[in-house]
Amino acid sequence: MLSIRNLHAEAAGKPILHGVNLEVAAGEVHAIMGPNGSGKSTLAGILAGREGYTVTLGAVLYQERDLLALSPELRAREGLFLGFQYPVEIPGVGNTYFLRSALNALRKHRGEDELDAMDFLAMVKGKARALGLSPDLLSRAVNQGFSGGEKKRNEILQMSVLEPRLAILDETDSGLDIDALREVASAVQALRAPTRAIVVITHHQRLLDYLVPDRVHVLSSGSIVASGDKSLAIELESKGYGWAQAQGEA
Amino acid sequence: MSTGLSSGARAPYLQRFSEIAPGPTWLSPARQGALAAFLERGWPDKKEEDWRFTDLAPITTQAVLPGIAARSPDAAIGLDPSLFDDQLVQLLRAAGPRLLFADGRGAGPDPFRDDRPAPPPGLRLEQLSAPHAGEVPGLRAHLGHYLGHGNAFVALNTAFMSDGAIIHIPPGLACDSPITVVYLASAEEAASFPRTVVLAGAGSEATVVEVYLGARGRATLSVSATEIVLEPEARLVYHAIQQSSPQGCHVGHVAVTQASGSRFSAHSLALDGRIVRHDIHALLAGEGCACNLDGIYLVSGQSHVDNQTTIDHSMPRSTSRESYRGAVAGNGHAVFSGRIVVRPGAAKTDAEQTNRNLLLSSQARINSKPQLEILTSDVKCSHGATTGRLDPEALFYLRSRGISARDASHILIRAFLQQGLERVSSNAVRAELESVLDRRIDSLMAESASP
Repeated sequence: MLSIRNLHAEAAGKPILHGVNLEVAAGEVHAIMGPNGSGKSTLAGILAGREGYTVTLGAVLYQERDLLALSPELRAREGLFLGFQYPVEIPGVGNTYFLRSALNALRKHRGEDELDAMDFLAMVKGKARALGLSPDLLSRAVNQGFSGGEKKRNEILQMSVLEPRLAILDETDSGLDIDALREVASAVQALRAPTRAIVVITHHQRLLDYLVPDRVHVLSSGSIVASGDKSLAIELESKGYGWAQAQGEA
Repeated sequence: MSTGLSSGARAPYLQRFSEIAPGPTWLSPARQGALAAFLERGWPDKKEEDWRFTDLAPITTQAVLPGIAARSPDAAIGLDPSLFDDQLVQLLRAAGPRLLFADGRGAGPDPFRDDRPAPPPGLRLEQLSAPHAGEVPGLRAHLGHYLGHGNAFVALNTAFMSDGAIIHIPPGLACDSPITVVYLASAEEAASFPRTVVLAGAGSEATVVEVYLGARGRATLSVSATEIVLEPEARLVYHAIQQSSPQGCHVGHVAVTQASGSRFSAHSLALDGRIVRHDIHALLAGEGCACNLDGIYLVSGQSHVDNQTTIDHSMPRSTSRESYRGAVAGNGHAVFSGRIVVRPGAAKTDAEQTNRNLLLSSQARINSKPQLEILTSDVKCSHGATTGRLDPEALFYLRSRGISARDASHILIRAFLQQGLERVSSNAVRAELESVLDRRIDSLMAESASP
């Protein structure tokens, strides 16, 4: 599904990623952990097509295609989803209208009919209810005045509506209290599917109690220094990132 | 300051004035006085504060004159409907009564539609050129009374007005359907001078929509003047929707006078034109008035759109709210000037003004100028102006969900502008205006995309 090969990248002339390698197959959940400044958000941004990064070496293949050659919207239409660390507030654009425009852009790309407003509303209300999102957030402007937890839930709502093949969730757990964390994690857990891959970027192990990953990677100073199964996350929690970095250098 | 016209420049105005139909005798003194005032003062120049940012040369290098052709008010006009934007001509098509004018004269039977509902009983909707127009209650007292001759364009309109709409809403009458007046301009060799007078009786309620359209691809010029009078406790919603071709010009002046307890709400929408100038002057002459002036403008290509507003609080306890929003693309230039005057007697005034601009190209320009003249204490007065660009984070957010870059820009431009329609109370009218906005944003983006 996703193959990151020796990825080097810089932002504003400053090298950030120094040769990241990662293979993610359909059906898997991977966690990328790492301290602040390790390059986690840069990696997520590059995968989604955010401007401001320059890839200086390496490649990213998504479903055997050169992902980096695609515009952000084409990536999304091909099934890639980025859950934002800081979801953007967009005054004047209704949340439901936004979600329907997005879903219809995807459907159009796949040669499917667009959903009309009524059918869409019924569908999205059901999904919102399942996520514990108040229906009144659907009629508000995108993320405007949403609490931190509501913004993150709104990201997961978008994921559940857009049904991506590959979801990259950038710090979806940050800023959530323990109850919200559990709910958001179990919502993501419910979206696990054999045809879908999920990459969770986090710096806490907590999230992984509810969303048990197949693989855990430690990103440090722009490269992956350790990989393992879920026990790596638990070991990290007790021994710290310094330990993982030392393991990588050993 | 302006210096008046040379005798050579005066000649064509004097000649044309003698050639056109004199109109009703009761109007003659006003017309003659206005012509004299115009010739005496001439055109404003850029040294005048109100005209600093607007170069009138494209309009004033030639004499601005009406056509001579005298058309009887009920003769059908030879208008080609395909010259005009169908969506705008048919605005509010299912709704209330309307009058249609072409090149400043009554179009008689409406060539676009002839099954308009009749006006509600008591409402007077007349053409100024109709023989009995002078009998409309209050008209003679009010026409020309509030505009003066201070502005060259207003003076010219008064001197040359050949026709227009007279709307009299009797006291206490509530009109459910909007009253629409459509002014079409298609002649390139002559200007049109439409005049509208709205007299809203005490306690009445109505919505008046003025639509000013220039023909596609034609360098039309319309110089309009609108006088609106609200008697005590009257409620009036007023829409002015303007679109000329990129070669066409429109200069309009609206004077509003509000008596105590009246509520006036204006929504101006300027869609296109080479030079578009809108002045709106609201005099809050009674206590406890509510006045709301909102406007939206879209400027692209070589267009220049200049909105000048004045809200004059002269009595206590009135409230005004003003919000103008515009998107400027290409080499477009937008000007906004919002003047709020609070006179010495106008204690407990509550006034808020905002002007928000979206710049969509590196050549686009905006001049935004709030002017607060507060001559008393115990008032609440605020203003704010912002100019920005599309938020790259918001664009990326939309694109990351599969929405194309172009659609994402469209969505954000529309979201920005349609916040200027929040105070439109009728859902049906707001929906129509949103769809007008959508189409104009499309054309603006198509323009920006082509080299």
